[in-house]
Amino acid sequence: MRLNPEALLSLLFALLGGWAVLEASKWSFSASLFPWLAGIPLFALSIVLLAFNLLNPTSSGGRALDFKFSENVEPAVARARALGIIAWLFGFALGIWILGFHIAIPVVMFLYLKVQGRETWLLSLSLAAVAYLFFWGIFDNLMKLPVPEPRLWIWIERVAS
Amino acid sequence: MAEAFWGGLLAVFTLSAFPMMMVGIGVGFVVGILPGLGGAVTMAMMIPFIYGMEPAGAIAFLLGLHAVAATTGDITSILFGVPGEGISAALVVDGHPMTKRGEAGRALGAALFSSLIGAIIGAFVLAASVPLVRPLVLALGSPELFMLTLVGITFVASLSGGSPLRGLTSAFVGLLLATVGMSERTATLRYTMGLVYLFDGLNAVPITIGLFAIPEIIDLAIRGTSIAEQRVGKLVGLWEGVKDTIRHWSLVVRTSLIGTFIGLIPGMGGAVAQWVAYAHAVQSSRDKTRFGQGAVEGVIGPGAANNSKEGGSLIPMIAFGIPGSLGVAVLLMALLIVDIAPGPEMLTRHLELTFSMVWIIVIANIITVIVCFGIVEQIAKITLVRGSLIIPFLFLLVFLGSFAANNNFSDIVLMLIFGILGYLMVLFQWPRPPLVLGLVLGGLSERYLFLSVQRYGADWLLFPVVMGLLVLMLIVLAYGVLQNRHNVVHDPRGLNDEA
Repeated sequence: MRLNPEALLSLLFALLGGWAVLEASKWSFSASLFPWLAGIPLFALSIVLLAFNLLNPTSSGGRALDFKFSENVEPAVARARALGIIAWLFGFALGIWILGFHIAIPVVMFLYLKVQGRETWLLSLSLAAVAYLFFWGIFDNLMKLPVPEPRLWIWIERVAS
Repeated sequence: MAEAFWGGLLAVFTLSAFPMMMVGIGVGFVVGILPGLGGAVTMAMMIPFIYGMEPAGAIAFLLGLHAVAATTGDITSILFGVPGEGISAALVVDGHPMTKRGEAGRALGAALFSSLIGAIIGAFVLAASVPLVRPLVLALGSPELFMLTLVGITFVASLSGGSPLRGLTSAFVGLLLATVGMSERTATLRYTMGLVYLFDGLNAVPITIGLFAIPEIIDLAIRGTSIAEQRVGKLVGLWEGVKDTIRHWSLVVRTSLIGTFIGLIPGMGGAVAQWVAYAHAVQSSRDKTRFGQGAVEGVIGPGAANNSKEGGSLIPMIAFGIPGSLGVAVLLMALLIVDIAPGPEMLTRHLELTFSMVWIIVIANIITVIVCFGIVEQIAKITLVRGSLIIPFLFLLVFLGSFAANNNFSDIVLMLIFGILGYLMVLFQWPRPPLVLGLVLGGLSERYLFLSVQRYGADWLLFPVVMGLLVLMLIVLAYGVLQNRHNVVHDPRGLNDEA
């Protein structure tokens, strides 16, 4: 018997449900009633799905009414592209955390367009500027969105003091 | 009554109301298109501007904004797969695949026109039900409302895919996530792991953006093309969508009534209305396999319900002063600011103002749809731009949309975590809508359960309406299982092993 990768979510949800039920047992009845109501069926259903998967690892268990990732691209290429875009997403988030929205938006936009998109210098710079103006105009200037201070500034201040 | 009805219409076209409504429409248009910026939050931000306004002008401004944000949120969901509003997420499921097929115009035409019809139906149900609503709302106690939330979740879970078990599991994950944070009743910190960020619970906006937008961005990167893979004729698509809506008029009416009814129940709101309407569109279709791949009914159903719920949600506020949603709560606040007390007076002394609300919903939506029809072809052209240029702008929208909901960087981290979960769910064909619905309804459901247990112990389980709803829930579940079995027998490859 072996698990196919599709069992990953069943396993994850079974662990989540099991942990949730155990954790809820430490609380009063009022606080734990609803977590039990959600956690116990979650654990039970996930175990059933996991068992189905162990007994019949070749079955995909039914198609959700949802879109599917493109199948016209070689699986290895698709995997590499998916990992690449996830890395960019996390990189953008890290950029916002370290540099703040004001610097990260134009910098990461430019880097993505130039490095990943292989666009021309002019187009990359222009679109990075458009993105910044969009952020500055609507979110910063008009809505006065309170953005967090960049981590970099905090680190520099700490080092300086 | 008829005099007040027409008086309400004339009140909208006065100098104090009409220009304010147009300003509200303009703000709502932009807010609806931008992900994460909810109509309710923006309304709250606009409250300072209504001091000193006449009641008709203040209501026209805020209600115009609120009514339109729900409509234009559909545009972002359909074109970019990024929910423009939390209440537009269901439009991503079938609307965005239509865009990928080059049918953006058709999807937008269907969404906008069904939204318009939905808004009109919801508004007129509001007008007609003003004298009748009292007994209906008073008949529902916390046990019945608790069961209604469970029926809604079961309905969506069992009809959202080939495996009802997965749908239910997904829904329970959502319900469990809704318990994170400080318990409202006992102040117990639940599943917070010592993180202050989790004390207030999980924010549904970044979770919805992560679950729905990130997989679409990943798919766009995998394909390496523009969002739309095929180009279609100009206005043909848009009008095709309108014709689709007319062709499916019965679905539009049914989902509009679903939306109005859900809007009527305090706390349920648009996020629930759209998913239940989507589930109904799936359930009432002969060929369920088209859903999720770009079925126009999957756009029409949620589109109509999304706007019809506006009329429904105003009913308890007008009749009893009970706001059915956050947006209506802000509207209630605005009414109090301009010295109008919701409740019986709205049905007597201020009846004309009540009817002018009906007309504002209708007129604001008509104006929005006309404007959208004028410019939507231009907006839709963005979907033909190559992916490498669009992706960084989608990054920007998902980051700003997640952050702007609460002004907290941790929401971006939350969005990324649920983005990865959304990716895995799409990859392994797990339905995402039940998770979001569970999350949205979890808090409300727990509140009703707590009240039921406190007040009736276990006796409420034997209440006739509760038992009726329990039977309905079992029927819905059994239907989902049987439907799945039927599909496996008749199309074993198509549904189960094709993925």
